Amino acid sequence: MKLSGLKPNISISGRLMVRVLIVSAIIFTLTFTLFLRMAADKMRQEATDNAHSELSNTIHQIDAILHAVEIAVENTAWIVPYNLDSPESLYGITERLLNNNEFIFGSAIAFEPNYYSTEGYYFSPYSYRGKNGQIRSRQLGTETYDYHHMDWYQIPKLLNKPYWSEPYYDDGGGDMMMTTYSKPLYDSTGKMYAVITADLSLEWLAELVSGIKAFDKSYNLMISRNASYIVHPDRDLILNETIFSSTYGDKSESLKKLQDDILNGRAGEVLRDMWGDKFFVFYSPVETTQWTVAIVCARSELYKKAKTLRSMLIVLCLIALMMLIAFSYNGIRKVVAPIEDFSGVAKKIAKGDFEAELPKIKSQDELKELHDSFKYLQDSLVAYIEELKSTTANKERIESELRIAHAIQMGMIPKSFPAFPERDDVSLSAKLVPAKEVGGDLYDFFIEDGKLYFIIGDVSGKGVPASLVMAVTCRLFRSVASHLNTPHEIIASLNNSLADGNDSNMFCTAFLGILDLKTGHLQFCNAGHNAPLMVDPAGNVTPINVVSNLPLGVFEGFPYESQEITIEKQAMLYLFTDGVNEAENNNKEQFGDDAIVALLQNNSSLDTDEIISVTFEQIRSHADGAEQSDDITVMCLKYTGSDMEKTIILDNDIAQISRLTQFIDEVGEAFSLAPDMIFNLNLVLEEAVVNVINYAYPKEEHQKIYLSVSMREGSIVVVLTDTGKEFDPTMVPEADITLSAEDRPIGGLGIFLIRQIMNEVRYERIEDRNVLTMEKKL
Amino acid sequence: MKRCLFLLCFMCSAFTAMHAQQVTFTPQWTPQSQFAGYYAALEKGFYAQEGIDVNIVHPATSYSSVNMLLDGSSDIITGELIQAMEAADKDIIFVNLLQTTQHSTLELLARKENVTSIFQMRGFRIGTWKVGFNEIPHILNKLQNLNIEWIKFINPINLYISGAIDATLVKSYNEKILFSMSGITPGSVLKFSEMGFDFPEDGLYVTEDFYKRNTELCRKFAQASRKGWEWVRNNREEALEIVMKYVKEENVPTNIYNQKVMLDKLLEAQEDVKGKAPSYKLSEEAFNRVNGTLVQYGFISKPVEYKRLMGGEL
Repeated sequence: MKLSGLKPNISISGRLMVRVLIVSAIIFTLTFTLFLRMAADKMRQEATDNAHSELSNTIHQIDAILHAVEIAVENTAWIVPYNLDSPESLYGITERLLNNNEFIFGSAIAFEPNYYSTEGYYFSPYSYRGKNGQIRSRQLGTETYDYHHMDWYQIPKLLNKPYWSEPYYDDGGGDMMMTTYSKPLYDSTGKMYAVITADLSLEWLAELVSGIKAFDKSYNLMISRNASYIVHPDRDLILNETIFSSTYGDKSESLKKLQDDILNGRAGEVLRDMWGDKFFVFYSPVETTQWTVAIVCARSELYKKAKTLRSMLIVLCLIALMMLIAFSYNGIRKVVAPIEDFSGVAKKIAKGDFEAELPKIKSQDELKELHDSFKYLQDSLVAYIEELKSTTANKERIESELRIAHAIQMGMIPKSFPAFPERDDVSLSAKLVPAKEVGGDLYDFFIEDGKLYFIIGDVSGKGVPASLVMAVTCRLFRSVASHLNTPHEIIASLNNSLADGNDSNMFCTAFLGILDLKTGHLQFCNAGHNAPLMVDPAGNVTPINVVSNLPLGVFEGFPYESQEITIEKQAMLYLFTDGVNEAENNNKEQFGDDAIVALLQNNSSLDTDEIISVTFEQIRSHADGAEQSDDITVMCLKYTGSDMEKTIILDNDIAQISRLTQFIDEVGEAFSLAPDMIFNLNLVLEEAVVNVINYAYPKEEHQKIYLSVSMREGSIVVVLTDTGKEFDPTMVPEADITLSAEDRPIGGLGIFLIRQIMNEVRYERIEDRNVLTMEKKL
Repeated sequence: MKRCLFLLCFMCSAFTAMHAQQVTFTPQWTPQSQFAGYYAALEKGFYAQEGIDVNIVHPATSYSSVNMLLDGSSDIITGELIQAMEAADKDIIFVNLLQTTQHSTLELLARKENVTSIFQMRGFRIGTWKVGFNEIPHILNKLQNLNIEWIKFINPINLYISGAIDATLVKSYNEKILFSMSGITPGSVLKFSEMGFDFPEDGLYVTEDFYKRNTELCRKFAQASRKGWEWVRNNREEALEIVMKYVKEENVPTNIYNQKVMLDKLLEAQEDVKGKAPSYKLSEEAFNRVNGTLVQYGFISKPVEYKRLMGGEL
């Protein structure tokens, strides 16, 4: 597993290491640089101090010699005025000066032009040391040695003070570098008349300056005020080059400082770029002459120790860094290792090993927290899994129970279709599909005494509670229906039973019907259920006109009432729960009443089983995969009547009598009746029907008269039904046949006749109908 | 036959050698790059090619080349135009054989800062050469009564450093470089070329008498000298080596850096127009300019004839 944002293949320890290393390297480098810089500064300071100390020593020695010369000249000069009268005696003075100071190579008393009229333009008695060390004297000035324009003469004269000349090569004195100390001499009027000089060989200077050993590798210089080399390791440069010759055009600051300091006789040091390297030049002036003594040392030499130190430090730093790497690697590994262990544990847990052993953490830090979190995770997982096991077991048990409940519930309703294979007068199919394992829809039916008792219902809610009410209702229906004769009584009984102790306010809609299979006469009672649909033999679909009433279990003692109709042969009754018309698809569109009506219209010729199949097929098609939200129940019954039954519907018109006569002929033929029987039936039915036509309805009111003739169990059964005013012919007194026809009351004779011919005559007033049933044993 | 031919050749060369004319040549000063062209002409055999045997004799610091020409110890010298003009005024004609420096290289360095005119140097001690090069300042001094104390020097550096003088005359190709190389930055610099005195300077001169007697020799010498200078212009490094050879022979305290800068400055001053090849001729226009100025300031009493100075009227 790789976490996003992390560079692959770089572990936490790796990154930590890199950071530690970078920070350490930075710290090391900074410390190292600072230390080296301080050390270098210190070394430079020490070197500078050392150089200046050496310079100072040397300069003191030089100054001491030069000062001694100055004193020697001073000590001699005073004698000159006393000897001016005798020019020749002046040689004695210059010789004496040489005798007084061994450093003095020569001495002259150089006079102004034409000082002595006898001596000419140039007069300068001069003594010097010969090759063998002997002191010699001669007159110095000539036209070719015009000393009046020499620096040693001219400058002290112009400055009116003693002057140390800049070093020069002496032509006469054997190619030695010399300097001349000149002191002007003044007469009593203050006019300068001569300069007394002491020439100093500077050979010792080279030795002295070269002898400075400030550094292992350095060389020393001495330069005059005009920057010419006086002392230099390369003798060719002496008095031929200045320190600025080779740097002509160089305008660097260090050079300018050096120039200013040399010109003004100041001590100091500069760092110069020379010969492709950097050199320190330490310098200090000789007080007497303002010549500058300098030590030149390569910077690398000066920082040689620093370099060694740096190398040692680099090695030390590297060692330290490596040790740091080793220690920090171990340290970080120790810290990080448990994390890897935790990672392994996490994988084990993921694979289901909730008891995987956690790494041991002894520290009380984030790792300990991680450990505790893992521990908690493991415990929680174990507990959760246990709970899940128990829940699953419970669920399985419940599911198992529900499966059993489903089987039981399904066992409570008839499922074997066609329901009455042995019968030819009715065909019935039904199907219940609960939304869950068990549901609240119900249907049931049975035949008793030639009557079909059937019920369809829908308990409020779904699932187990509804299924319990459904079971109760089914059971009650079976037990109650067999004792009570009318639908409203059965419904009322069911209602009272369900309403009794109905704390959970469950209720059940129901439609209950009793169909007289002989006559097609249907009595029914509705308890808040949706109206069944009637499909007549021609395929017209109309809802049965039902009184809504309250559902069962809502209100104890509710006065339900029955209704009745007569069903034509080949008519079909279609009953359903709201799960059918309210079946929804994913767009929450309901299947709808119109779809049911259309379904029935289009398939009216199919038998009940097929109608049920088509219904469920269309609902499934409409739902298009949407989950079934309600129990769906459909019951379909088709009344075919027996073949031993003939029916006819007549208008209340006396002209219909001929149809009646024809009908009876058909019955007689169909039932193979004897001619006398046909005659009797004709007599009876004409009497009864004419009675209804004449008396049951007001004149001009067009009404129907229903007539059914069936042969059953050795009897001819005739049922005459009309919706006219209540009239019970059985209650009419026996006709007094003794009276003349004019005197007898109307109808009495007809009824008499009917009673005479038929074995049994019954009258019932059902709802608004007069039902007259007559039987004649064959 | 072969032997005869060899003999003929030998005789010819001997004849030529016998007829090689000996000439003593004296530059104005001790050996330095100022005379590189002549050293080169000698070293590279340009003089020999012209059949001239040149002996270069440098002057002593206290005895000028003009003196040597006049006393006959030298035949041909280098000198400045203004020296020739001064002599001509005294009816001593030095004939100009070659004009090398076309512009004034004379400058004044003052210790004091912000000096922009010689008239600000009233009462100054100013260094000047013991011999030559100081005619113009003298003229100015006289005219303006500047009361300048002229201090003659052999080398002005130490005088200047010690404070013995307030200012000094220098040649831009010579002393001025020494100042730089001694680490001295002058307070002020005045250039005469910018003050209306941009006079041609160095040239080759002979006496009129010598010229009359050796006109062809003079022409050849000038020709070879010019060739020397042209060679120097194109071979500066080698020319410097030649100069340093003469420097060492005479033990002159100087160095190659100094001489290199000097050569560069001089070659620049030889160009009539900056950046163009020199003509090596004294133009009548420049001559007349000098003539006019010198007469105007009374340095010479009457104008000098150009043609005569150029050896024209013989």
